[in-house]
Amino acid sequence: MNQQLQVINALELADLKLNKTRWWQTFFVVLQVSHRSLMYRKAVWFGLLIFAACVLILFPFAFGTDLMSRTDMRFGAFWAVQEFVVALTITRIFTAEMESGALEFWLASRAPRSAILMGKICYTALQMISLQIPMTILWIVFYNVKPEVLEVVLRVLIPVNILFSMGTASLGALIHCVTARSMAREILVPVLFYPLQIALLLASVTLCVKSDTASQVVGAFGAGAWWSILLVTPVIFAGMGFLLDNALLQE
Amino acid sequence: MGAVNFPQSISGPRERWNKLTILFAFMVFVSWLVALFVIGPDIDQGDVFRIMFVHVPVAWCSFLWVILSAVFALLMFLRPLSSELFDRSSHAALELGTLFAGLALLTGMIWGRPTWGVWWDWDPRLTSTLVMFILCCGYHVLRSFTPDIKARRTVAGVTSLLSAINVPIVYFSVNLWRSLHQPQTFVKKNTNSSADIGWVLLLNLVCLCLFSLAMYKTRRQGIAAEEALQEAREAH
Repeated sequence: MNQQLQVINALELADLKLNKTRWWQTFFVVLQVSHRSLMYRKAVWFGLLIFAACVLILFPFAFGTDLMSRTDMRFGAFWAVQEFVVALTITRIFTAEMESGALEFWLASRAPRSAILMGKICYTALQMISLQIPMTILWIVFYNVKPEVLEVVLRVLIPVNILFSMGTASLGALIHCVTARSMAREILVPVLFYPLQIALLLASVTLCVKSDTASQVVGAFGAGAWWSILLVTPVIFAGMGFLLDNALLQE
Repeated sequence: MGAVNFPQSISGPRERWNKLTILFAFMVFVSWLVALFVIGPDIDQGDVFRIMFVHVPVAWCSFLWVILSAVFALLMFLRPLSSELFDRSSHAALELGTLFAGLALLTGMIWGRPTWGVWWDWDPRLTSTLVMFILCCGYHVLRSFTPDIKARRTVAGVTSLLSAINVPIVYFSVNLWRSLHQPQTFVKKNTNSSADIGWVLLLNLVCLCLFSLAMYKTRRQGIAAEEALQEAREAH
């Protein structure tokens, strides 16, 4: 009897190990396939970059070039551009895989769905960060960010950008899956996505504006609380995706 | 064409809840009268503050129904065999959540105009309530744009859970961000308000909760009838 129990325990342990291995294998395969899809169509990435650059350049003309000397307006322009990039990125989260048929193959296979979702979230966040790097350089140049404050600004801007991308990607993936089988997706995605993303945007903008020593904006909410929002948001939405993976990803 | 005679199992509960709806509506009306004529005017705001007896219960009802909708959605995922029932409950609850969130915004604006001097301000409480209302509206748009009934249940359940995330943010927003909206009034007994105001507010809240419960039951029956009709049409 004891021997039988030991065998069952050993088998269960082996199964758990196998499941863990399969999860990580699927996760990396999704990252790899997503990267290959992007590399195959580099024009999409460059198109997004050019679009974001256009918005960044057009922004001062919409609000007046004099207004752009204000710190809050400068950061406002930066984050408005990020929002445009985000809108285009999240609507295309699964597009390449859907067009190539890879998504159907994944869903039909025994691959853990949570791994597929997490892989897509991570890759989308990486894609957003890859766009944010050149955009930040352009923003520094076009909006005359002073060298004396640049270091302080970048010290906040870099982690904020990373957390913003992770939170946005996890929420975007969730909303993308929810609206996948709906008509008029282009209307539904922003309707459901933006209201939930407001906290992330507000935290990012406030932290950036506060980082600039010349800023006059004083918020009633401490920096710690804004950082908590940025940290907690990706955890909540990725956690929801992880728990509801079977409901979200259906053939 | 003669009148359709529904079986007692269908018409019985419907008639019962219709009667209860009328009774609870009357109770709400009486509680409003108490708020209007029993309570004296406020020292600072005068009679304007009486809208609180509508605004606060309506806002709390919106929280209650949005949270209940998420609970039903969660049960739908946990018990797939009863998913139809829980989806119906979640749908009806979120409809009420949307209605009460909209009413909370409207009554808040009516209260804000004479006290703050503006109809709207980008205050954290107001903005977070608006966000919750938009999300609830998004839920209904999503439902109507998803033709497949099974997929509709799943995506609506997820959206309902997402909508509930906003409730604690709305509730604690007045404490987290100090702004135009006053902080929670009934935090400690007899500190921010007099006892009689508390009792009348509680009466209004109870009456409105009962009325909303009757509305929920009636609406859930309506949704069940709509679904049965849709299924019959598809089968035909």
